[in-house]
Amino acid sequence: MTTPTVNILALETSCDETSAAVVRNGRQVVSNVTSTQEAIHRRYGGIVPEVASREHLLTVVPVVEEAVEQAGGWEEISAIATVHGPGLAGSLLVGVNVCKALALARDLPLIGINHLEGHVYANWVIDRSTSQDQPPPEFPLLALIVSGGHSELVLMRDHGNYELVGQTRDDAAGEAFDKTARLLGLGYPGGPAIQKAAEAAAEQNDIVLPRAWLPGSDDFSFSGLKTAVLRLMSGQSDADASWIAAVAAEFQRSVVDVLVTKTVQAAQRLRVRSVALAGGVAANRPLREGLREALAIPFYCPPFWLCTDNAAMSASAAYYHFLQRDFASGDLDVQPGLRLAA
Amino acid sequence: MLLAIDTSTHYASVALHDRSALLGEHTWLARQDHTRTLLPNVKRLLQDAGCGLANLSAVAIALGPGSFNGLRVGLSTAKGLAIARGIPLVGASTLELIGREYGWQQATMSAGRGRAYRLRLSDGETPSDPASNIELIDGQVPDRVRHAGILAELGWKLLDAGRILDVARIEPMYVQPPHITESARKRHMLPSPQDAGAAGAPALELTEAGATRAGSPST
Ligand SMILES: [Zn+2]
Repeated sequence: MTTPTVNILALETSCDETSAAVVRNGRQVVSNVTSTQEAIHRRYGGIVPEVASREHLLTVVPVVEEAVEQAGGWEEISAIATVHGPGLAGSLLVGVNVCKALALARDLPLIGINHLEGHVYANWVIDRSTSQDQPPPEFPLLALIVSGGHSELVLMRDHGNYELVGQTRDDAAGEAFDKTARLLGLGYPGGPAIQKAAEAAAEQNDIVLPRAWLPGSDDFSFSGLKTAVLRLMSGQSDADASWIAAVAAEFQRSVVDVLVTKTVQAAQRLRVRSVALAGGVAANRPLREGLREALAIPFYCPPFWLCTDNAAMSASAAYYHFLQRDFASGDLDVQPGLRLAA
Repeated sequence: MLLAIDTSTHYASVALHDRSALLGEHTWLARQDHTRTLLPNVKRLLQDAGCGLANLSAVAIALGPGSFNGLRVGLSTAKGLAIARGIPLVGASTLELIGREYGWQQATMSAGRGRAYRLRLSDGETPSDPASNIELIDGQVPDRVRHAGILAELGWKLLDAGRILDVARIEPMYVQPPHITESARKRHMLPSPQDAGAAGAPALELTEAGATRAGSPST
């Protein structure tokens, strides 16, 4: 028996990326078109919600039309998936309302996707840049989701089954990168800026920043780290480039140490068969390398082009909803604070 | 078959018109709930008229001014319908719709903070560039219910006149640019006030005249 071909069109407008993609049978990217507003928001040092929302409404049509055209037209589409949270209300509503209209007008099922679920499923998407055989991750799986708004450890026993293991008690990992980069005058977005500065740092230096281990818990805490950086800075009168680089390197080591150690401990205790990294901070090289070295079980991390927000990951996640016939109705609403697991 | 959509304010309305007659119209108090309530109302309208989306030949949209998010819900839906069926999109200023329904002396709507928008028309005809004819004046005006049947009728005229909108580029009539102030922080990505002081960059907040801000995102 052959599996019927299922092409899902997904649209993602939760933050500052307008992205549409068509993914076949949950893993094969047919098209993936993304328009980023990063240059617009950079001058504000962060995302301005009203500006983001206005931009989505201007870019959504060409992005969707391009993704559908590359997939061979509307007749090829089996279902429409929309990311309905978490994210910015004014941004989410553009994608959700366009998708509801598409589903109605093409008489196709509608699927509501959690943005974080999408990030996790970036690990199912087949990376076209490698010729290697890429088997899907095996359950039970522990996912470390790290982004500008999230730092969570989530246990997945099967598709669509999410159990919260640990989460940040204050700042998200990506938020810590952004704030620290700003303190160090390294610019926005903070993740790539800090990684770049750290690469230029000398091997040896005497800068030490704290690690919040929170013994007995799988939770994280990063706000103390930011305060420690602030304290270091106020005690340093001549903060030259090499000193800044050393602080950036130690900051990054501290975040990576904590994320890697706590993820490995939780994976061992929960006896999972694989670990997956997800979210924007998954693009951080020391974090990817640190987890790969520390884990004795299969480790997955998305290729760089799937770490930032994109619709391919959401279309992949939607396939497993499609197989369960888990469809949304016309009254689907945006949920800015939508959670993945409790 | 033409579908008209108006989600400019707390009041929302949809109508279906076959060029010779109004087939149906639903008007409701949407408050801030446009995303949740719009599509079920469109579906019900089509069902009641025994009409499928395949019969749809055009969409008409109220372009504002009004609530930024309300306008975007309507226009996002209209854009989705237009590209999925390959049909034309036409639109009119919400002030023009109020003028046609309540009389041209009444072509006003609240802009918040004790101010109002007014559309000045010389002869009651659809202006070629309504946005440039909108004035901001002092005074309180009521939030008027608009019936989308009026937009539907106008929609056919705009269609016949060839005044088709560019589905990709059309935006609501925001009238007011996004207002960026140096007040409270709006989003986690932005620094807290003490960080801002240290980094020397202002935190940002957007305010929207005449509309209640939706809850701030938790992500
Ligand atoms: Zn994301």
